[in-house]
Amino acid sequence: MLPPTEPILKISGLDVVYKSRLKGLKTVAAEGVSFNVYKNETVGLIGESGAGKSSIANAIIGLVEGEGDVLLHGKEINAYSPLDRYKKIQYIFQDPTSSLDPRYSVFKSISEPLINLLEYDRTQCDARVRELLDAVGIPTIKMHNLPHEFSGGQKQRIAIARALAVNPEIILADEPLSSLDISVQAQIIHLFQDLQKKFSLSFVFISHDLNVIWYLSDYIVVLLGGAIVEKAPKKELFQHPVHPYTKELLSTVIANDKENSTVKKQAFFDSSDIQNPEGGCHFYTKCNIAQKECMNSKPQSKKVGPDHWVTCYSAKTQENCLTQRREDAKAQRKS
Amino acid sequence: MNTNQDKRSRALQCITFMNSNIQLRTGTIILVFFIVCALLVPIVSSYSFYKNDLDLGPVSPNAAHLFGTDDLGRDMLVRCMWGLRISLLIGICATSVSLFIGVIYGAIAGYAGGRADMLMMRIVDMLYAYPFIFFVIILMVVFGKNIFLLFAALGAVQWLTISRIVRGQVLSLKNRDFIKAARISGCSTLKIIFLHLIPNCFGPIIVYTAMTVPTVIMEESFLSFLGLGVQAPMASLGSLISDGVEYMETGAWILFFPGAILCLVLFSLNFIAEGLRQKIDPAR
Amino acid sequence: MPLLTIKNLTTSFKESDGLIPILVDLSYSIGTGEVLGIVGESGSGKTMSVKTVLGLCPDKDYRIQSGSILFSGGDLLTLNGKYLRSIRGREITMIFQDALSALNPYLTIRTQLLEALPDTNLSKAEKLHKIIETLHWVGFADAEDKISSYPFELSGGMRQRVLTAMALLPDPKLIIADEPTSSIDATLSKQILSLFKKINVEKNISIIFISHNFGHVASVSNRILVMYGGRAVEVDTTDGVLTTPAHPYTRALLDSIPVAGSSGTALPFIPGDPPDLREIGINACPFYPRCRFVTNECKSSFPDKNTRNTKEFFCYHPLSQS
Repeated sequence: MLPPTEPILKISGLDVVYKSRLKGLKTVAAEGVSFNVYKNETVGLIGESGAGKSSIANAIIGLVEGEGDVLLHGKEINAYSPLDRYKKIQYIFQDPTSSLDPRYSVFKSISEPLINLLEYDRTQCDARVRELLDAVGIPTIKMHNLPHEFSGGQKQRIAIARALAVNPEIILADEPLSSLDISVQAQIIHLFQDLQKKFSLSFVFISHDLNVIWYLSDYIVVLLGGAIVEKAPKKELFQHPVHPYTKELLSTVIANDKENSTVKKQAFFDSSDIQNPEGGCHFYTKCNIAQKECMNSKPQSKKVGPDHWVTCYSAKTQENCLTQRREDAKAQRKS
Repeated sequence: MNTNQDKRSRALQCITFMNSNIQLRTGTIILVFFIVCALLVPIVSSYSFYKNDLDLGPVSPNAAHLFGTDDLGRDMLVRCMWGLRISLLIGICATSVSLFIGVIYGAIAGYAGGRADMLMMRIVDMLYAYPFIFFVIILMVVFGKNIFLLFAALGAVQWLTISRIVRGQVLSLKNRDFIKAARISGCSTLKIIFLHLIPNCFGPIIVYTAMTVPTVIMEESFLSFLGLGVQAPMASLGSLISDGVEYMETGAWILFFPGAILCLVLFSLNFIAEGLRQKIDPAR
Repeated sequence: MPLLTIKNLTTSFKESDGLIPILVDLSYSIGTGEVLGIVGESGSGKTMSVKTVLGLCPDKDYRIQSGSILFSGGDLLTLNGKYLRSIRGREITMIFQDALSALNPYLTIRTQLLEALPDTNLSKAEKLHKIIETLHWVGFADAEDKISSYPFELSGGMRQRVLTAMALLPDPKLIIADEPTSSIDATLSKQILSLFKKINVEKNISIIFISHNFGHVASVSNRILVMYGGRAVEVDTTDGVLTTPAHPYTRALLDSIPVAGSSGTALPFIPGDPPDLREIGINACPFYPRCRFVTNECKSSFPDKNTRNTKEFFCYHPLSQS
């Protein structure tokens, strides 16, 4: 499925480095991140905590400094003024309780971007806020209530309404379902799908939950230790994962039916123990097909399929992959 | 949107709130009682607080003069109520000055962070070390004994504490998501400080205010006792106590009544402060 | 003879404007060597029920209105503090959700693990030996070296193992795990789940596994209890709950859980919000505002218990078995 146009957001070689003033220490939160976001598409960023997903999102929107190229409609993003940037890219935070000012009514919270970025007056705000609340399913009669009078799911809807207010082209959603109850998560997933269709939005959806990413993404980017290890369209990634970490991640999907729910015996894999060998692949210490070169240097990104890139020494080139797949398919048909 | 209904229910909410805690209830009742007396008694009474009646002289409490009279024949009840008015006025004004300076200073230091914050807080530390009483004495001597100067001097000393409190709150708030969300909604730094950070500090600010008012009244009383506060014929509770000390043996009531009122008012303010702190701190 | 039985437990929280029901007529039991999974959302009462078992609700506004909790032949609700303390932390232990906040940041893990061992007749050296043994058993590598570390020096996975070791040390009969996989990542969850399975199978310890994650619960439990609005709505074997749920809530919940790799992108969801028991009241089925099959009966009284093979459920319109 090749996108016909230029990407709205083109990220190449994004590095996010936090410097500690006190000791002069540097923490590399993300390095060499490159991916594209097209119109009407959702890119899912998946990775475990500490993988750098939030840092990347923060760097895109400008809350932290990042080095590298981030092009919005072909123009360097720092060339936009912050206000222009916020008109095109918006953000939804993980915890709706802390992302809404507890002393601001719903109306005030949603009007804030309208007033600051679009210079709306009171009447315009009123009309727009009503429109947005209808779109997210919050009764407009509660427009002047405070956040604590709403449930977690409703608060997240209000945060979504606020992000939609200025009609952005891209919305970055940072783990928006993690703080919500199970019976409400499906509602919000449905809301995201609905809004994307209605408003032709592009999303960058961050999560550590592969199940949620499956439902919301068209294109998936797998992060480990701040670097991309694999990226591909959704079905392609699920059917032909190449990187050992991606395969490990896919094996953690525990389905609800009994046959798949027995926990398979795996080698112990504690991602929080992953060391960061200087210059080496982040997965080295836990990889079961690691070679010597993996410890000393980072592999280059290789194309292994349609819009499918892998950063791994063991990844074969695209031609070899296609040959492998044909052979696998033949073997399957025979058995 | 029914704003009248909102106002009525808010008043009711206030009353229920003040009634909820035993400290709050006691403190508020006593304070309100005194405020009402301070406002009404001088109006209702036929005596004046400054007209001398030298023939009468100091008279112990009786039916005509409930608190007695002082050495210049002035009715003590009226004098005390006037003194209470002045003391409360000074308390409120000086606290307001300190709030204004301290909250803004602390919020800016907290939000700025880094070197600016360090510099601003070191200045506060240095000022803390400075002996307040010398500062006020010098001011009074150089600029004369002006009551407004008194407000300013007392306020200028108290702001240090509130600035630290607000800075601490702001430090913990500034990384909360709603501040980041405000930035993404296009808020300028000024708007973030004044519309988001400071309003979310109201809890500690209110408690601090409730604790500072009695402190300032005490300090003013002390200054007046030394002769540096309000000047005759105006009186504050402190100056009345100062005047009354001479008559401790012959006219004990001249000392007793202002002293007792000062004590009770300070108690009530401290009860309110403690009650507020109990409600606001563990609640959130 | 079940190990722990909760019978008709009703509790509430006293607020300034009335009582908020927390648990309503809750009954469930767990047998020896069994893993019972409790599934429910926030407000369903799953955590409060176990906290009540252990007496961890010291709040004076928490009222236990009726019911009994039977363990080892005695009613835990009528026990005095001393006896309760001999059970809590000895025969019944708990693993809390967030390992970082469950451990004292100022004490080394050696100190905290020693605290977990009751004053038995073991010498300190013997206690330490047992601790190291247990740490190895739960998969904590380099136990001897790392035992003097502070919690913040350990990774999330290691902290979780320390908590698990603390729960195992007193040789309990029952371990209660409250959302142990909620604040950890997918690959770590897998290990923790297999560890629980190991605890149950090799040491024959009963486990109450509380979670809002159906997949995790299903992979370790023998039976699953579904709770909603402070009540038990369905309990059955894991198979029974997953393949033939009777209660509409269970069915709707199972359908609404996103599973990667499934066909189609439309995810069915349950409309509405978690229940406010003050509005719904305790004389109705708490799920009625969100239920597709609601009738007037559901609003006026809570259904009686119904059984179907191994399944117990409370519904006027249960789903058929097909």
